[in-house]
Amino acid sequence: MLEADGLKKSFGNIVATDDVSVQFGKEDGEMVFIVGPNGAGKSTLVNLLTGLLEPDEGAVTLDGQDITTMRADQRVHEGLVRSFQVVKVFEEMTVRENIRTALLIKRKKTGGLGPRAIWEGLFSLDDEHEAIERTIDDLVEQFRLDDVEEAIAEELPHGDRKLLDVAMSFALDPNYLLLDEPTSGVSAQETDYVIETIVEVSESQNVTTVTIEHDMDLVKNHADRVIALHQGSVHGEGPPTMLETDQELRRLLLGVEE
Amino acid sequence: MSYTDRLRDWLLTDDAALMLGVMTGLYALFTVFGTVLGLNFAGIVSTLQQITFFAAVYALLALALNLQWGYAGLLNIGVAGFMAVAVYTMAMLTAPVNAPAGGVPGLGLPIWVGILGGMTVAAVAGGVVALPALRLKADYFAIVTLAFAEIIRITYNSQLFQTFSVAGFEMGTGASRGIPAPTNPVLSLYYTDPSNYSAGTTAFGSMVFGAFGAIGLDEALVVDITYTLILIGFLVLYYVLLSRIANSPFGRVLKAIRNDELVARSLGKNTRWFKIKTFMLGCALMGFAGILWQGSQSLITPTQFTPMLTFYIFIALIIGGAGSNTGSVIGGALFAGLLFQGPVFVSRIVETVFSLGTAPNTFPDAVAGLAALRVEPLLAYTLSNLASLRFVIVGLVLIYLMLKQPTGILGHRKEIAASIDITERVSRENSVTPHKAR
Repeated sequence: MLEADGLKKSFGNIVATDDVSVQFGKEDGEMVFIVGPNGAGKSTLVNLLTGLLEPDEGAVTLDGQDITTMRADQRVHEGLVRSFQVVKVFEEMTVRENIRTALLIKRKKTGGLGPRAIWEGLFSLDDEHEAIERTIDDLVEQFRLDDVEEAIAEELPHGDRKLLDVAMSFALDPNYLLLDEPTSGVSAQETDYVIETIVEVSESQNVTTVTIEHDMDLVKNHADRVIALHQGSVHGEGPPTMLETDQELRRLLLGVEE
Repeated sequence: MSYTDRLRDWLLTDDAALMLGVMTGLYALFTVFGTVLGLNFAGIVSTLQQITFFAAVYALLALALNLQWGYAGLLNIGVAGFMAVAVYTMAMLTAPVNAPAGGVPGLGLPIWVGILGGMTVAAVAGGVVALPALRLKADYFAIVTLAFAEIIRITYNSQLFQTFSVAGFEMGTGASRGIPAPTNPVLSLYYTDPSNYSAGTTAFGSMVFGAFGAIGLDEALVVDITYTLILIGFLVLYYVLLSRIANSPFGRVLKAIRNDELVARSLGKNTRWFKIKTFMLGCALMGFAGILWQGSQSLITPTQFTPMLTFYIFIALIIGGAGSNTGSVIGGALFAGLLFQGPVFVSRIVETVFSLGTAPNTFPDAVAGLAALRVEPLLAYTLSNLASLRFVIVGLVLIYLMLKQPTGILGHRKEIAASIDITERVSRENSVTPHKAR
């Protein structure tokens, strides 16, 4: 269970999140969508949960452990992984190389300051080749990148680049995956495909995926649960039907007056 | 695969060919220069030895800087300061306890202790600078390193530390008068008493001096050649070590950091520690290169460590291409040969070929000659201000590189993560259509 308890964060006079308390995660994973108008504090919440920002007040707990002051990179090893709104891949590498790099970098071997860690970081040869290549095969297939696996990342269409980005997050073997607008900049035709793929893989691996998304149809179709933010606070949370029934929310999100 | 097989494979690579080609080109050029100047065989050999020496030291320093700047993106413009720390520490540790009158007392430790001590102190200094400074943005980090280097140089220049005592041990920096460097260990290979040549040569010394004397090379030149060969040995070590690092899991993280630090962190790496470790290692390597270079001169003074030295090393790396180890070596060689020593020889040739007479003292005097359609005063003036002319040439080269080849000679190359065959990928590139029908 990933929990935010009374998270508050201000930037100068602007309160980005104000006393936000939310919970994510079930045994077999769940698909949560965060919705809200621009400036509602969606990205700030993701940044607070993943450790890119430190809250002014409140706490973050992961499976019962207080991780409020834990560094972002340490949280990755605890199974809390994120992707960014902008596609972050190694542009000059192929799809396979990108995933391989993520898999190789994730390993703890290169951490630490002890003589052994330094020695292994500098001089150990890459081992576990076969296991790694098999994992790449699986990920490439799951994310339907198999027909472009040898293409250079920067030459891919945007939707595939995004899928590669998410595939690299999955290479880190997350329990909780936070995706900041995975369909941002993706063409309308590709959007469904990207979200469908992400939902499919998340479900098959029992990963709790928290996605910031603006396309309400996608949210309705794929969400187990929706959390709506407005002006830094939780406006409401519930099943996706909430998007139909909550008139106040419809007005905030869509500007619909009824 | 055995080491000899690996060596043979490596010698067949483009990189090896490129490095050997550049050196051969420089040797050919300076042989021509020497011949035009009417140097004898020993003179030409001495010239080539000097070119090799400077090529090697600049390559060593460019390689160390490449680790920091090329791989980790750490803009260190205090290279001279870290060299100074190492060289001074080495000199202060090894200076004799009972210094002769007017000398600087030290701890009298063996030279290898001095070298290790120098490298360690340089690494620690790097850590001390990097620890707080890495919280800053890249350009502010650069300013901190430059400030550090100047503080170091001015401190070593200070009368306050000319001699001082710590816990009863007398030592000092010699301030502006400098501190004598320890005797070059190569000398004890050849002479029974390095401080007194007339005491005779060792058996090995007699043999080598005899052999080289037969072809007209004197003892001093043989010693210099030996030292230069040792430098080349260390250059090979640096190259192998840094190539190994580049292809290690550690190097892979560095490249991820350079690509996008946020991604590296999102992949679960504490990027700050990686940068600090890299910076410290780079400083230790710079320190050792400094010891090999400045420590081989008889006297060490603060004037040897001005920021200009740092910029020379940067230019060498920029020419070769940041991010490439082979580029670092080539950049070091080209800088040392064409920009550093080249102008000296060209001006000597011009002076020999055209007898220019005495150079005018001021620029107006030099230009005044043009009115009378005489270019010699301007030419003589230019050549007598060679140090400044070198800056002009370096500036022109930098502008040219920025316009035509902003990544340097080899910087455009993608030396990516380990176990990825780059060449193989290039051949595949054309056969793959990235856009799939859907």
